[in-house]
Amino acid sequence: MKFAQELRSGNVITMNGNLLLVTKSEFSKSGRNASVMKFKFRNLKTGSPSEGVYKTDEKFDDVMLEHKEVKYSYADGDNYVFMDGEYNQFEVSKDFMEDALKYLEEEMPCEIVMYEGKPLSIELPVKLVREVIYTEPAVKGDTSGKVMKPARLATGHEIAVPAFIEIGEKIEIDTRTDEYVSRAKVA
Amino acid sequence: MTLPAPSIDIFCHVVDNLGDVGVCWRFCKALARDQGCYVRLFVDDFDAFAKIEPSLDKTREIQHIESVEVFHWSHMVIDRLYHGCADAVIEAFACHLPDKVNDMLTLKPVPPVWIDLEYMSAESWVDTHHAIVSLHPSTGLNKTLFFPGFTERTGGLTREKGLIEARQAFQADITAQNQWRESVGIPARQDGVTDISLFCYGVSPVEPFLRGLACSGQPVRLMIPAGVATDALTRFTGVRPVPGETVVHDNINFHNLIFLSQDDYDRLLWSCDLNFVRGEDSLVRSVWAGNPMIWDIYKQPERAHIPKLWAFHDHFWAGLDPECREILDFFSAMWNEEGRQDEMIPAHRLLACLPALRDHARRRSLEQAAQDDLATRLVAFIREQMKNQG
Repeated sequence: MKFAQELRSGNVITMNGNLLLVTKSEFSKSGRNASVMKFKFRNLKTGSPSEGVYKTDEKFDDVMLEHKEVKYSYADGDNYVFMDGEYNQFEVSKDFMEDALKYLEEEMPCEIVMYEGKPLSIELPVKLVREVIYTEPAVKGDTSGKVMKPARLATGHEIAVPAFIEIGEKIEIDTRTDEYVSRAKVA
Repeated sequence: MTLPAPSIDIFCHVVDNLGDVGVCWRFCKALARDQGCYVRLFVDDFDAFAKIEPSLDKTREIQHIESVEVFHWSHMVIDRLYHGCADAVIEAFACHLPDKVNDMLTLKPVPPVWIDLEYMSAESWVDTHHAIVSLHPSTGLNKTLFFPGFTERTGGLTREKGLIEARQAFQADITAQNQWRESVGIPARQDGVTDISLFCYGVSPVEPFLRGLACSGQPVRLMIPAGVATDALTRFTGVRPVPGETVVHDNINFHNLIFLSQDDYDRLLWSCDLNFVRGEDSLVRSVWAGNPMIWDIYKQPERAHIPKLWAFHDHFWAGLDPECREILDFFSAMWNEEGRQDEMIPAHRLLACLPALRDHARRRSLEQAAQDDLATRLVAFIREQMKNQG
């Protein structure tokens, strides 16, 4: 069993006798509202998509599938090709990738999820470091409390970052929630 | 052909204060009165409910009030008296249904429309999360999170029929205002005097605000609901507030109000130049009042309430004169953000903005009222789901 908050893109759950792949997960929390997760699913048997919104403490039956450590190599049309340490290649359809596309970069290490011997999807590392390609300059003297601003990554994906983050900075991101964690530590 | 109105069961667990049961009660009355629904409301705290609805008999397990069948929600009552679900079952504000009701959801040949009614928000994510029918993982039934909000893509806000017209008529009739004021112990309107209602949480920076008002030198009358900011008022005036009594301190008259019914609280919001409102029910009522408001938002760990506060500001106050918007934002930050109370701006700057804020609030109130209300949208959603289920 997994709580909704623990489910991530690449996980597989069973509901009503169907095996559903999580292709996108989105965490939201505000004020007194319960924290919620919005998921996009793909039925592994029929291929049909569906979606759902759940409180984060909702419990799901997850299915344990085989995982392999791989690195992203290249895109081939609507497929994405990954390679393991023994140079075996695995292709994953774009339809099964949604969340992963936000952070996909060449040589990115991740885990490929196998189902009945076939590559199904990928699971991202929980934390990733990415460079900010564009963000508005911080507003000096801003005391309104609105301290976050959007920042664009190389993939085009935007996340909210503190006002002090500047273009070219590397930041650590929690891929489960799409949230900024911190400035990346300089090696 | 007009479809019959659905029957609805609503479960309300009182967490703290009176906000949740207040919202539920207004909503139930709107569903029954305006939509013609047969509504059963289950409330687990009749002491709290009785403060909102004085006609409630706390000794009775079941009673009809204003066309709503009200149940005291206890294990015993549910076990003895709950024999089947209505067309729709609503968990208000993420409360958990009693086990017996949970079991009964799956027993009906056509399952009820199962809804989790959430708190309202103006945040953009609500637009994309509202009313998505979702397969429930353990029961296999459909369950839907329903989010009240400010846009067409959300569940809307509770607004009973005729509310805006009643408010406009009241605000246009000074005699009616003064008659009502007299009935609740508030002095008549007076030119050159600013009337402010102060409904806030105990942690709010009341004293710095009062010091700012005192420095402004402008005549102000503060209308304070019973039991609000008692300690801060006592420290500032040196007199402990007593409901029904007035304390004069420099340029400020403190009117300590008796407990007001929901209808009377509406009239208070309608007749003040500025309203400090707390929680969600009073914020929504202040939107319908069409007068400026400072929202004292319910505080959450990790500042989770702050984005919600600013989302409301960005929605409701969009297009406001920039100087007034800056003052309003600054004041709201000071009022709601921990550690910012020393940044108090002079109150006279806020008071100077009130005419501009009022014009804006009146316009935005009418624009908001042009949308369907929460009860209308919920009933439409239930009907659609019932149709889909055959």
